[in-house]
Amino acid sequence: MLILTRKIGETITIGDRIKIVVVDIKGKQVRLGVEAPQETAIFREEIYQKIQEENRLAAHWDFSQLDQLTDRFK
Amino acid sequence: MQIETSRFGTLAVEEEQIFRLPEGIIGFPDWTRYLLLNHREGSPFLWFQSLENQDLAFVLMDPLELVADYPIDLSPEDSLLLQSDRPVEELKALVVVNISKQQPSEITANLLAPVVINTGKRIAKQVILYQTNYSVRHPVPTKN
Repeated sequence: MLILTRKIGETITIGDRIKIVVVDIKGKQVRLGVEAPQETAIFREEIYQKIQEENRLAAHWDFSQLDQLTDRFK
Repeated sequence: MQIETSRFGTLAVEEEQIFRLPEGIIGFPDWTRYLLLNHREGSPFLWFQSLENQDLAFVLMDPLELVADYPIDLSPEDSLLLQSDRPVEELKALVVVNISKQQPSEITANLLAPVVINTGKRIAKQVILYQTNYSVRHPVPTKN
């Protein structure tokens, strides 16, 4: 991992088209601005983790309920 | 060919029912081949069974049973992976269904990360619709 120190207003450029700028720092929170091509996936890591966890739960429930579930579906 | 599954016993598998997920399902990147089967007549659900891990399976359903429109905006990388240079009609989205352990009456579907399938090429990927406000736990309405 590359670790850089930046001040408010300073920018990191990744590749040709992605820029990250430190917009503000308040206490323990950093506000970051991201400029990237529209198709670039940018999301908070916890969304990815949430989906991973949801998939994990979805792989483990009791499918024997599926017949009853089908009957209850509107 | 035949495969063993822990939930469905032995299944006879046709080549046309096999889908390849180069990146697997999110959280399960090692398993890349799945079987897609209808549950039964009149059921909105489909089985998505791993061909390589007999204990791994998911229940999927058509998101259009839950919402009127479900537009999918694919990134160029995803379009490339899904080999969707052809008409968009070839692409089909199915969403992962979950049931709460604590509240078995609550069925939900993950509208934020659908499994997008190229039905012609039989390639699929679970895509995160990060630019939407969809929920990972969109309620599936039931009668009781």
